Amino acid sequence: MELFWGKVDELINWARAGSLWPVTFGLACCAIEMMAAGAARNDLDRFGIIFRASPRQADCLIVAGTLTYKMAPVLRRVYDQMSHPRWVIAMGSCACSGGVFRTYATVQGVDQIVPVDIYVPGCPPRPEALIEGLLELKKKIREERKNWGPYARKELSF
Amino acid sequence: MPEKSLASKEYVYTIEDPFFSPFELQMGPQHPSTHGVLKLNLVLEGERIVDLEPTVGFLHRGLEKLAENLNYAQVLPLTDRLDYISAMNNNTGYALVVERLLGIEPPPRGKYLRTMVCELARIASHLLWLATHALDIGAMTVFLYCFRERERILDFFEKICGARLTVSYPRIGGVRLDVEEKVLEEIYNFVPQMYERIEEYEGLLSQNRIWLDRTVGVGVITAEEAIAYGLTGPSLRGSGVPYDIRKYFPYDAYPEVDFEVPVGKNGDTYDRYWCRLQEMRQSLRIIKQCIEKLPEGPVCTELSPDLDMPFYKRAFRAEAWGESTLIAFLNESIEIMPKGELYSAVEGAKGELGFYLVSDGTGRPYRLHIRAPSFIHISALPKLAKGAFVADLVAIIGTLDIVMGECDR
Repeated sequence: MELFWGKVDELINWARAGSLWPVTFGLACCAIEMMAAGAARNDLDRFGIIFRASPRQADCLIVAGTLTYKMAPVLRRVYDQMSHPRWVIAMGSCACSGGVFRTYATVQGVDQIVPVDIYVPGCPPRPEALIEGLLELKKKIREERKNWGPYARKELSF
Repeated sequence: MPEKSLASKEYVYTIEDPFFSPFELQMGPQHPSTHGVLKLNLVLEGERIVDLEPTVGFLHRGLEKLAENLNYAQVLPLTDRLDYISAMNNNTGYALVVERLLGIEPPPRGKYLRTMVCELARIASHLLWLATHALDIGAMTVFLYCFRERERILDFFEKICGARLTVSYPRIGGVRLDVEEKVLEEIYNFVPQMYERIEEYEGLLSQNRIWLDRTVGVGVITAEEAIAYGLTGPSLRGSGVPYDIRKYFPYDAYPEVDFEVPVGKNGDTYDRYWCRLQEMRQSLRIIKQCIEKLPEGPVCTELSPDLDMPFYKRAFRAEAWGESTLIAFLNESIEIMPKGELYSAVEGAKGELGFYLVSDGTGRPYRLHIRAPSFIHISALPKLAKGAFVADLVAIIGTLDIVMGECDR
């Protein structure tokens, strides 16, 4: 029986990793590199990654740029609007840890607001680095077990 | 009885729509076509915009306050994150204000290199503007074409200084490193190719009926109103005012190169588009002249305060201000900088990018205020968008060329 469920897992994970649709959540400088990753030279479409403007239709959130305290509730709402399963990539030093902006207005890392799966450091990270991060996320999705139907893990609430 | 009838006449019954309320719509902060985290509170009547109120501050990172706690050389990398699309212009603007405070001037080669990279950054910025503006209006091809050329310019930046977006290449007193001859040659060969590319974009858009319908007569602002609102840069020049910092208050190598200031006529979205495309051509002219005229010599003055970097070590050696090294910069008790306040502006890709610096003599700025063109352009948004359709609002936001990192700081 475990063998059977393992095969089901593989099938579901294959489908999920094959079409990873991120929300366009561009905040600052990293958004430009995110656009560059989706544009002509580093074509993200060839990995099955197509940017969606609506969080309802997306399953991956790329937090690209500095998150301020004023923007944090919006990020949380966009994250809550996304349907399960969902993953988060923190792109850039500011999203990972606050970066150079250690000030009164900046959230020191988006992991204070939403759970983060992949951290992509850099200020801003090159498009190649973002692609690397997305491929790492794909690997992570491939290794998930029983993350579907009644087995889907409950999100951490904090 | 007659009294009562008189009294009843005073009541005037009007039929009002009991369900009427202005339709309010919140656009942003997470919206693909607001160019960042701009939030707009719209009041609509059908499809028309009755009222509009922009809300800014979603990217306020406290950059000006942060600058007060760092020394003059350390603030320079922060200015990259202002207008992150054309970081070279910001660096030059900040470097200029500190240079003018110190009374130093970069050597000629440094000046020419700065001018060259500034114009490259301007082209990169205008390309990104064209890409996103056209994408918002519905032209996907232009987006891909523009990013193709933008990647080439970013490759040049990478070869010049190692970074793509946040460059920190212009420094106080010049530029950081010299540019290799090979790279200069590549940029020189890039110039004629770029002329062809601009013609390609024009071929796609300028005569396109959909593009004309979406841009001509949309977001009109007259010259007087534009000046009153404080618009600068291409947004002002689209209305027919030939105001350009590079011509009126020249800095770096701009007085020595030959270029024109393209000016629009009607002040609508199409004219601003036309202005920016012509500006890209003028920028190419400047780059070509800069490479042709590039003098030999050092790229950075001896007196420049610089970050203490291992392989390009340069301490702050200024005999004029007594004993002072980089360590003296960190020491707040010794007066090492001239006191005073100063405003200096450069022509950024979006408009007049001004830095207002107050120095109290210590190694750190007492106050650094940044006059960001995007912030002032957003204030003109209600004027431009009132009475327009919601669909045109996207075109109007695009035409102002807003960058929220610069607006909110």
